Amino acid sequence: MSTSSKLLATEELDSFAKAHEAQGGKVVGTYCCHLPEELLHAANLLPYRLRATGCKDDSDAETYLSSFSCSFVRACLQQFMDGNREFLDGVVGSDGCLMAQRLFDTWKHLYKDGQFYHQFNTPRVTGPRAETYYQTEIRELVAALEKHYQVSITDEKLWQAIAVYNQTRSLIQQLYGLCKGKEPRVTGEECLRIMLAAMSMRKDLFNEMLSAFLAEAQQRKPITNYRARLMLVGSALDDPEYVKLFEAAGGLVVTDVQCFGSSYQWELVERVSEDPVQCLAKTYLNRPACPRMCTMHAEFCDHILARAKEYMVDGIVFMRMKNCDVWGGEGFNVQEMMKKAGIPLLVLDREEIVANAGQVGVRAEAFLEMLETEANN
Amino acid sequence: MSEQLDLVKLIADQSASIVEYAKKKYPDRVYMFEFMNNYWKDVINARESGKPIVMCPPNFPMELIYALDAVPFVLEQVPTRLASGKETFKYIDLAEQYIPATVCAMDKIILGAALSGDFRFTPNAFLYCSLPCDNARAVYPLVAEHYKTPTFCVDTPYRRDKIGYDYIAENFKEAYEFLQKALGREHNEERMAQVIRNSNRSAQLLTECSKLRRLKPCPLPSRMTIMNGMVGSTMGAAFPIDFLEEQLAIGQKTAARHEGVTPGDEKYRILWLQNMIWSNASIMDWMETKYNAVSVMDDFGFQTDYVVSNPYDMEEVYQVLGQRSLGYPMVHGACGPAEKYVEMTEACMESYNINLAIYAGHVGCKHTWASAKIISDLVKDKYNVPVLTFDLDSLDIRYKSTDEIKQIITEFMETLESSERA
Ligand code: SF4
Ligand code: SF4
Repeated sequence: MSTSSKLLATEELDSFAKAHEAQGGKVVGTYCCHLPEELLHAANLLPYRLRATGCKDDSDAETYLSSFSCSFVRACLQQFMDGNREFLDGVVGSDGCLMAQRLFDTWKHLYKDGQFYHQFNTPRVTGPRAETYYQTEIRELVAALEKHYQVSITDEKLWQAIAVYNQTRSLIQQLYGLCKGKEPRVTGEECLRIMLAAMSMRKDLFNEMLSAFLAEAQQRKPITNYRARLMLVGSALDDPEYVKLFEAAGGLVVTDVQCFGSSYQWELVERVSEDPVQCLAKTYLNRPACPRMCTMHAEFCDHILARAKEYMVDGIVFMRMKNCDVWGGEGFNVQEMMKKAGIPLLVLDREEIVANAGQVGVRAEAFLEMLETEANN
Repeated sequence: MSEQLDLVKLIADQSASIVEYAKKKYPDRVYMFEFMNNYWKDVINARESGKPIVMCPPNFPMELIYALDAVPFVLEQVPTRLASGKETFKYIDLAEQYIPATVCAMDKIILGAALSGDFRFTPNAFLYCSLPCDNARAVYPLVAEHYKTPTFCVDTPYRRDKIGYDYIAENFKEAYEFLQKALGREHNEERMAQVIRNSNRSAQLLTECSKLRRLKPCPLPSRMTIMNGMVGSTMGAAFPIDFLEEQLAIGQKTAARHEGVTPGDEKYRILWLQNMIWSNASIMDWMETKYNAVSVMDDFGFQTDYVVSNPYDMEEVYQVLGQRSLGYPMVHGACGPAEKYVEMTEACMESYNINLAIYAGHVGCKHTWASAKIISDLVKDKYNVPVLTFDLDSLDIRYKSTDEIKQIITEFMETLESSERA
């Protein structure tokens, strides 16, 4: 298999974690963009972003989380229940949102014996007080990892991890750069598959593979047969098949703001002091990654708008996962802002397990038609 | 949408007429209704006199507002007060034009009422907290944005330890400084000390009332669990003290007579594992009469008492208010980590002699629903106590009517009673 094919073979991605485990490494589950993965990397672990991709039936998880829960979280739990996460050695939980927190709680309730587990909490405001608190959380996680895995996470190792992750971020920006101009060379589906790969392997390996992919993709002929440039914004989307529905209808997804897309890793950690923990706290806390941050709504919407302009999008698809309050509330702001900016927006409610692909296709088609009509007027 | 409605006045007028009605029909209950009437009178008077009004959630310490001679307008008081009527519908419907229908009706009503303009005033300052839940933290910033008034967000930490307490204390300190600036008022040591003495007294009385509920038979009515849940919105004022003192005195007298609140011998002692049925407090009266079943405690209202020993020591004040806020209903165990919810349920099960539990899951409260199985399994397996689980919307009776809820409870109670007879 070529490097590109390996990156794009979403169904096979867990082979990286399994190989890491087979070589004596440990794999630890995570689920929040506000968790500095560098800490786990510096402890020689493979941080594996929990996801639901491929889940077809979440009924066992529903007995625990109820039908009133976010179906992404339900399907993530179902993956454990189906025995698909046995390569994990533990999970670092976080209160990113309370649904994700319940995934961690239920995982602990059912599976924590003999596993590493740690609760990591990210503030919901910015500013010096929050940053100091966040640094405490980081230092506590470092201490917990050191104790459990009998490793020493020195500043030097943290700087090395930051360098590796910064390279990942630059490469991801280059990947999205291939969708940016008038001559896009990768599809939104490919982008999402590559992001899922980023979350499933050690970053040093990923960086090598993505560099190879970029070199190859730059030689591709530009994609020209699309009807409109789309941007996906909203609740967790870890299902490339969902993106495909829009691209099959003739849209080209050129960018996104969602936690399995560009929100995962983007802003470089800058060396603003000689303390790597301080630097991590500053970057992670201030990045416009998620509407969970209470005092960053305006900034977050500005970020979405700037992204839309930068990638010259014709329309935005705003995806609201059923029972996702975090994004449900943000929809209000996003709709207002896009109305003012004159960028067409399609609001779609969705569930992790897509039972209405036909209907989504019809909505996508109608939206594209509307965009074309607008463009022609 | 009617342009004319003055929602605050409507609620205040309704509260006053309930008191008048109770005086004639249920004189023994007047003190309960007088309590909320006093709260609404304060808001109306402030609005009319131009005294500063601060909008906030119930888990913000009201003491910091009262200490500046301002009046807290606790937004959650609106949905809980309107819950039993149809007035909520238009606010819910309006909110659903902007946010998903799955958001908690508490927050939909708040947003809808704000957007409708029916509050008829702009608060002098706006405060919100990053917990208890995703619903509240999604909606409060939208309401703040709507009013464009000076706003402060308290970052409620997710941890309940020294680090968390220190963090929230610092947040409150900053919030108090913000309020002084926004309201143009200065800290007055004596006024703060009096407010803290009031809230200490309320906290102690709440604890005493909760302790009385441990007795068998329970000497206080079921519906007081809902009323007491509202005391948090008035901490620091003097009027809740009257209400709690009267409640305690009545409870003590009833306990001295070894009496309970059911017509026959008390048979069931119920713990509500999620929200109370705010829209249907009368269901609890009905259960007392029909099944000799008393709602003795609820996981959402369970409170612990922290008292400020020196009301002039502001560092201690912030610390204690922080601890109280983290133990506030909805913020405490219920919002998570699930182990905390488990601990809180165990504490209730073990202190209140429970033999029946109800998980009447308010649909909007999705994070508590997501621990429903862990909690109900605990009650069933560890304590061998039956659990009735069903869904409802505590604030929107269109979801499930009173009759439908009564039918569910009836079927469960009949099955329970027949299995006890067998
Ligand atoms: S989709 Fe929404 S509710 Fe689900 S985990 Fe993400 S933020 Fe939380
Ligand atoms: S009832 Fe639950 S969902 Fe609603 S505001 Fe309270 S904690 Fe949040």
